[in-house]
Amino acid sequence: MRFNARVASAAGLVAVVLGVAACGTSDGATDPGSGAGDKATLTLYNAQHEDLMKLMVADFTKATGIKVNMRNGEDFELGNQLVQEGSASPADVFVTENSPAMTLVDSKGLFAKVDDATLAQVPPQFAPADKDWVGFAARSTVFVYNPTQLAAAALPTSIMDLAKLEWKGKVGISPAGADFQAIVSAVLALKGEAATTAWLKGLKDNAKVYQGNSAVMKAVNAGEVQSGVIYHYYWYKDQAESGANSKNVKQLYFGNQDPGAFLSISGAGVIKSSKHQAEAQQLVKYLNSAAGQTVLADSKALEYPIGNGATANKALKPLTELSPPTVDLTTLNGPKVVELMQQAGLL
Amino acid sequence: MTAVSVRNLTKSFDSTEVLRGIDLTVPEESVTAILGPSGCGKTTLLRLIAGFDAADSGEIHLRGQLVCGEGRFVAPQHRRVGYVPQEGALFPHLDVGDNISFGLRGRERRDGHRVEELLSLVGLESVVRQRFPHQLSGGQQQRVALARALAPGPSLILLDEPFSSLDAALREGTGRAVLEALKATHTTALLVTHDQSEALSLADQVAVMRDGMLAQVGTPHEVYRAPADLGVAEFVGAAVVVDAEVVDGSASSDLGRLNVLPGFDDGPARLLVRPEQIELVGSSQAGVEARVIDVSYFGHDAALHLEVLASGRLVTARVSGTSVPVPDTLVRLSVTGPVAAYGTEV
Amino acid sequence: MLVPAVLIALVALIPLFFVAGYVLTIGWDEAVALTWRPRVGELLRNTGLLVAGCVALTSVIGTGMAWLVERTTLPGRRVWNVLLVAPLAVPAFVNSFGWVSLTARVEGYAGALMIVTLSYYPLVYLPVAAMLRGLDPALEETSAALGYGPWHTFIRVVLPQLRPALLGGTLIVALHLLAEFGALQMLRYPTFTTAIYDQYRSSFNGPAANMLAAVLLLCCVMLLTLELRLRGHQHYARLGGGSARHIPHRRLGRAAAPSLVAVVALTTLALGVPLGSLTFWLVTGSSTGFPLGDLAATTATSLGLGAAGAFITMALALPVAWLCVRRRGRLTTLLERSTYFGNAVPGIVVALALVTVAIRFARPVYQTVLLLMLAYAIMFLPRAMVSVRAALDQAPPVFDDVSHTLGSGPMETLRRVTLPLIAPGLGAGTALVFLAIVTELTATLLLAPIGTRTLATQFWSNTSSIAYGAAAPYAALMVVLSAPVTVLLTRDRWRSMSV
Repeated sequence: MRFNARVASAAGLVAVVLGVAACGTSDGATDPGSGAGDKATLTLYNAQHEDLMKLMVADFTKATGIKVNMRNGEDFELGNQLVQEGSASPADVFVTENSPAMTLVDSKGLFAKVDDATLAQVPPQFAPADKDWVGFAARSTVFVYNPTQLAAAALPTSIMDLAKLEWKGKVGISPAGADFQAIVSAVLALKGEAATTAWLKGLKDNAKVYQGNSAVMKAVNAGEVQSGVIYHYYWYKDQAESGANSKNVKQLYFGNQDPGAFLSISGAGVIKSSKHQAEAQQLVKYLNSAAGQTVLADSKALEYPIGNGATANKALKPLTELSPPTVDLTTLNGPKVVELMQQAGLL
Repeated sequence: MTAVSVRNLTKSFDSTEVLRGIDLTVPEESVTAILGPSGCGKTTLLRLIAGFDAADSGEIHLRGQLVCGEGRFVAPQHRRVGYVPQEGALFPHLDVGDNISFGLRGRERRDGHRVEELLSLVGLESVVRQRFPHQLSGGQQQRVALARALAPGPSLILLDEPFSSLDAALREGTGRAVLEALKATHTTALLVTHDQSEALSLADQVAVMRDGMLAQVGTPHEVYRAPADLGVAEFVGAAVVVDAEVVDGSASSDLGRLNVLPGFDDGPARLLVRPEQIELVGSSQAGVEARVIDVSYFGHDAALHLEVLASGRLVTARVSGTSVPVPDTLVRLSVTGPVAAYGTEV
Repeated sequence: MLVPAVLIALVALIPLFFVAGYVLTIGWDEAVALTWRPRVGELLRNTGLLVAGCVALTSVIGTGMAWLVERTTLPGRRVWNVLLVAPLAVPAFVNSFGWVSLTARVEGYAGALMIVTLSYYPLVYLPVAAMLRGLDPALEETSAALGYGPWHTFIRVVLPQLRPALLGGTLIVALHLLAEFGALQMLRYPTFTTAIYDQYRSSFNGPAANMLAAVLLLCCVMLLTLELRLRGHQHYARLGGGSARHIPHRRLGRAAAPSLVAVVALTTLALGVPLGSLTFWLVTGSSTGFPLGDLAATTATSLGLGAAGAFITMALALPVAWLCVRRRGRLTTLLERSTYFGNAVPGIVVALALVTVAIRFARPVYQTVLLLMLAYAIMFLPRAMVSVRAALDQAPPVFDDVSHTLGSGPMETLRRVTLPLIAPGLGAGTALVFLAIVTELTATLLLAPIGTRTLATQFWSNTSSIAYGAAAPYAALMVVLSAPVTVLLTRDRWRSMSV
């Protein structure tokens, strides 16, 4: 009897698993060819914030009927993946948070030229000279701090100060993220390798390491760490929602063309090996078009739109007041930054 | 007609020769025991007869039909041979009734008469029918295993050490019950065992196996009293071996003058004396004098370890438990009945 | 049967070939440069400290709790037996989430040590409790008769007998720790596995990531070797199939109250806190939404991947296990050992190996479910092997023989005898692998094809953006799915499968 009961329960379990397998595989959600009618389905390697891109892509699909599958990851994860995959990549379009990964992919000659009409939608400083990709959003570096722990007089005047001895244990960063790596690439472009290496060594000693910028801000808010280096929109997003994770946090914009005022450009490009060149160009064009930029500006992402004539969310500090350093987009060297950070022990 | 006839059978595993030319004939409705120490190849022989393995060469006939040999091989499911493995191997997922009816087909499996019949045949109550194997004692499991093997009505049953896992008290009764069931169904049986008392008490014919060959095939009495050689002698029972010179069918030895079984030419010989042939004699003249060294008392009988005074030879005698001497007593011994004699060269 | 078994063994060794091949191709100097740097030293120290601390704590807690439940008059032993194993139903990264979402004070070494200990002590508790249950009480009685008190007896007689169980259990704890990603990443405690992941995020399968993987693999193999050495040639009484002797339970007396407090405290920390925290976020979390469609789709994907992966893994284990059980030999032993290698390979290493191997040599399977399945198979083949072997042991060849003599041919024998006998074991094995896949995070993050979201990856993506409330439903679903299989582990029969 006992044995039969066991057989029965085991059989039941197997049956459940089998049944579930049947519906699970039918769910799949991964078949790129299905349901799009005659239109092509694009594969987007997305390193931008998933929620923002979901909104923009949904609007694009609504307007054009072209479906888009997203593979989400970090700038350099997907960038290096594209490099590895080479011409066999399933990707049609690549979108990043920051430009160094675009430069990496571009350096391997994997991008097709962006349509002139698309380039014309943004001011020229937001696209590289070779026109292989184009910017569609910008974000500013900010220094966030907890005013109850850090007096105004003690605030740094440059991001370079954070490597100094007195900042030991007082600053939080997320070095594994592409955002911080982009900031480092700006430091490298502006200050050179020796200074950057020394700066990173100092940071290694001083900084508390978090996973992601939200975690950094949350830690500052909770008083776990006095300050941190993140992008501007984390604070605005939280303020717009409830302020729960930012009510004890203030922002400091370094300005003065300090590397710490670095304005990072999110880029988009068409992969040369894509079998859907026209549709891919359409998607990139959409991203910095008036329609795309409106979705961006109205979204909760709170990044700066950079398309001609687009206006940012009014809550943000205006783009014109940021005084960022002038950096040639193509000189931002991702792999070198990762190497320097590895040497410094931050990765 | 013969139930089983095996001719010149050989089998090797890797480079080890396990069976080296076996010839055996099993008469119908008899019980034949294959007796041998572990590793002698007896289980292999059984497996070849059952059809679990194929022989390398030689032939096996069942009821006159060739089932193995000359390029022919009949699968076990077509040989109509019953099999009772060690510890019964009852199917643990089936109850007793389903185990017994496993080999039945069609209506016979569905209606329960046959199961009832078989249960009573092997001496089990019908209440055990709903039980699962793990709820049965070892002896009960063996009986069910036999019932299961008998169910399809095979003419031959193979029993592989069926009682070795039972304790001594159960072994005897279970053995008898098995024998009765076999006789009642007129089934021929081939019993593999390493236990000589089991072989001698249950079988009509005993085949003693050694190193992949049959050393002797005969009745239990023949095998015990007139073993083919001293090796067989020592395997089938306790033995006292004495050296002597045989002249005209009798020999004079440390144990006195002994009658030798016919068939041995005069000359030097080694004699086989069974411990129970050694008797204590009351008279002070007969027999040879010996000192009791120690005594193993079993109740119904006793084993005496003795030193023959004249030669210093140590011998064992098996005597009735009714009057047992104490150690250090001096006794007189004589040997009753004829003894087997063997040549001196090994 | 042999050819597929050899192929399967080779597949199981892909990570090893990959790492070895990689080190060879980048050359010695580069390998040294990438390995011999301060960050690696730091990771080695972090990982070592965590493993050492956790092995020590889980040994003490696991043994102590097993002794209380199996050998004393502790009230409610039956219930505690289940509750003490129950933390296995809460994946370590969910446990970690439970704590870290309540207080950031658990970040860092002390917190990480506490949380992984709470998650992994059942892996020691289970084998030790089984061992205690099977231990012949005569040994302890003999020791008592020789004049030793209970404490002495425990140290000199019981503990040496528990050695294989303790070694086995702590080895598994250590291997789990080396492979642990989610829990430690959340606690901001960098180890090799989290560092490899960070490297992957910053450079895909770059040299630094691969070399870290090589070092991690080396650590795992060293652990396995160490354990083999320690276990050595000592022989211990085999556990009987259920000793007929009744084992007397020691009266706790005045120690009853503190013992009870200890058990209650442990289960509260290991089970109460994570489940409580999960409930809290489910009920009140600000970002909690119940996107039913998303939840259902994700659950279906997880279940589908789990079921398909479990079937594939079990199917791969079958030929190898069959050969091991039915055709023992030097080659089959070697094949079996190879399939157990997956035990020593963290998911992150498997994933990195497969990404690189697929891109270079097997483009068509790259970014497909097939590759993900392969990763699951390599990782969970050891679990499947243990259960398939145990299942096959339920159907020794003698049953086939008996069935044949009763007139049943091979197919009928398979249907009437073999399958019914091995089905429960195969079912349990499938369930265990299924569970492991549903809660797998690291390899899934790296290998899931475009658009494939599982409960674990969705949970992870939400916790990464601090959306604790949004993450909670996914975590809860994983716990719910894990619970029934965990109950299975409290049954004696399946204890050995907590690998």
